[in-house]
Amino acid sequence: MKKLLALLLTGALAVGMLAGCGSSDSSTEKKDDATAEETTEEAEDGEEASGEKAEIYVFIKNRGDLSYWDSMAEGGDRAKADMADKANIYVIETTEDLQANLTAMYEAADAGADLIITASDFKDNLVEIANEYPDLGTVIISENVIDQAENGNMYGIDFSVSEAAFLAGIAAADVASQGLDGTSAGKTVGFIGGMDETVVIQEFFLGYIQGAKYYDPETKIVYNYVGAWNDPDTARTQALTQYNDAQADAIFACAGGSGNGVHSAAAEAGKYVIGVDSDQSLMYEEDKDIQSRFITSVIKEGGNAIYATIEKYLAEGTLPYGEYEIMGVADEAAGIVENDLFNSLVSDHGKEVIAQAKSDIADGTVEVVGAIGKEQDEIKSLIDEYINQ
Amino acid sequence: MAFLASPSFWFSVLASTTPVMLATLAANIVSQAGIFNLAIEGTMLICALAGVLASAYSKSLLVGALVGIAFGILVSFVLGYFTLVMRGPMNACGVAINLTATGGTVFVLVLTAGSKITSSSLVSKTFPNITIPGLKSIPFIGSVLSGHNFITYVGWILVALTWFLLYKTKLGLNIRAVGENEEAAQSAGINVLKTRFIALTFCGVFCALGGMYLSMGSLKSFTAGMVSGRGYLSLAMQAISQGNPVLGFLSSLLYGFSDTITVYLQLYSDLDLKLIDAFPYVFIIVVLTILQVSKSKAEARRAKAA
Repeated sequence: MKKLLALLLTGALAVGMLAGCGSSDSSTEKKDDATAEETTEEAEDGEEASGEKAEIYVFIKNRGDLSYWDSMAEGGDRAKADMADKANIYVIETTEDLQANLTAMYEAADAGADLIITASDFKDNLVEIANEYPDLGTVIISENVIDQAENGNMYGIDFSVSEAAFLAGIAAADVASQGLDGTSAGKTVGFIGGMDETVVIQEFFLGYIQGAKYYDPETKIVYNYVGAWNDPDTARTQALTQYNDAQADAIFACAGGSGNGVHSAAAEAGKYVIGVDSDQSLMYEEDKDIQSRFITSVIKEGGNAIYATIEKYLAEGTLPYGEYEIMGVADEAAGIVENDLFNSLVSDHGKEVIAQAKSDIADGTVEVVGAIGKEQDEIKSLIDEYINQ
Repeated sequence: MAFLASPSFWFSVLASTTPVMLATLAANIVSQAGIFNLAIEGTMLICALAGVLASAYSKSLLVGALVGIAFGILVSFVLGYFTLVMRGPMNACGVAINLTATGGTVFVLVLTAGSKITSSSLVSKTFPNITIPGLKSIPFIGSVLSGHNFITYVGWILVALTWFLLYKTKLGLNIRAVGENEEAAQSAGINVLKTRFIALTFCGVFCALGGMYLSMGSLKSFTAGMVSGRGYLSLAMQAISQGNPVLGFLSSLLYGFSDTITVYLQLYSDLDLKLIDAFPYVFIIVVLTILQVSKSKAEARRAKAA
């Protein structure tokens, strides 16, 4: 009896496993079909247009994050519309499933892709594809894995957000010194990061400190790390402490979902906040109390970088493979939002300083030190050094 | 360490204690009934979103609160159905609910608010902060105890009521009897299933309040994953308090204290951040260890005496 039961169970398990495989197979088939359809569609398009078009794939995690990936998707879509006569551009969402992403990349490469563009999370997949298909051009954004591409067919882009954060630092210091209603005018600005020892966050922070000190060397900087990307309640406590106890007038919230806590604390304290990744004041169209607290937001224009890269590729037929280029404020790959709120909150003097800083950065008079490519010890000592300047 | 004397520090301690306190209360009452509820985290998350959405669509705080609480009870009953009626393993069912909550809330958030991160595009209602007139004028204590969110005060009252319920009423005795020894309770004529579902109802209400405190009290909108481990933490608090709501409140307070002190230490001390961040958890482990050691010593003594 027991043996029979065991056999039955084993059978059930085996069937379960087969069913599992079956479903994953069918999902890949579906994907195959989708790609095939796209390819045939594009083939039909190709017949209508003359000449051979370049096949360009942009792989993103998903749309709808209102920042990083949305910006990339937007750049891809824009390029697709503007350069439709020269290239077939596909923006493909693969979710965070690395395996699904890899499969989709293989399919794209087999379907005759000329250029594959992707970012951060999918770096290892891209390296694999680049090594597997030596003739394929690949572009990685935000991760320097150029050296791992043995065939030298990878080009890398990163954003100097420290330059954009530098401008935000100026805006924050300006708000903290001009005695706006509700501020302490104690020349103190705050920073709240999601996680400590995260280079992306430190890149923002370093630029922010330098900007605040550029505006006025006496500006004091206080900071906290939430320790999580989705804990707005802790972030709120930290922000209220910075606003009410440490007399900070503006806080740069660089903490993903936790940042929401800082935004709402700004409304409670009647002080100011700086957003990140997208114009975050737009999140609060329905809540003017919070919206009116946004001085600006620091944005990475990943879309502009993708657009420029595709444009360059189509114009020159190739890219500077093997190079890892850092784009900044001057390339419009990063910047700050200058909307009506910004115009009303930042003083004329502040705007002048920001304009000056932009031209100084562009012509190299001011060099903003970033965190990208540095070791933790070095970054931390830089942060201490600039704060205590 | 001058900040320890500032009322705003102690105010923050009480504020950050609130959600953990309610989650711990939920863990207390179901544990007394012999249920291991791993799903507190997910239940809180679902309620946090349900309350926000219901209040946004009905334009009424009361409807939002009631729907939030209804979802709390519903989710707890789902757990109850699978573990108590269908006899499924409690851990697995709890994990299943948590996973459903993590993914499901984001899914619903996209459908309703059009964002994967926050519900800030919806106008939802929030529980008011209450200023207590007489109390407010007392220096220090007034500014620590007055001005908290409505749910914080409700939570304090619930701690007292739950203690009373568990230790001073027949229902409380039944709940504890069921948790202590199911068969014995059954033979004494207690309806085990019904008693456990009553405990789950309370658990659902407490989880709902804890979740809604985050999304409709302390903050004005729902953020994906905003419970951020507070539900799991309540299980540690339950381990410390052994089902006693008052001890549960005190241990949550301990957490609130160590959590808030990290915020201040980050700002005002030169200690390494990693050390500071570990503080609340190290604190909890130390307390748990001390309790466990003293407990096993007491048991050893009892064994010797017998």
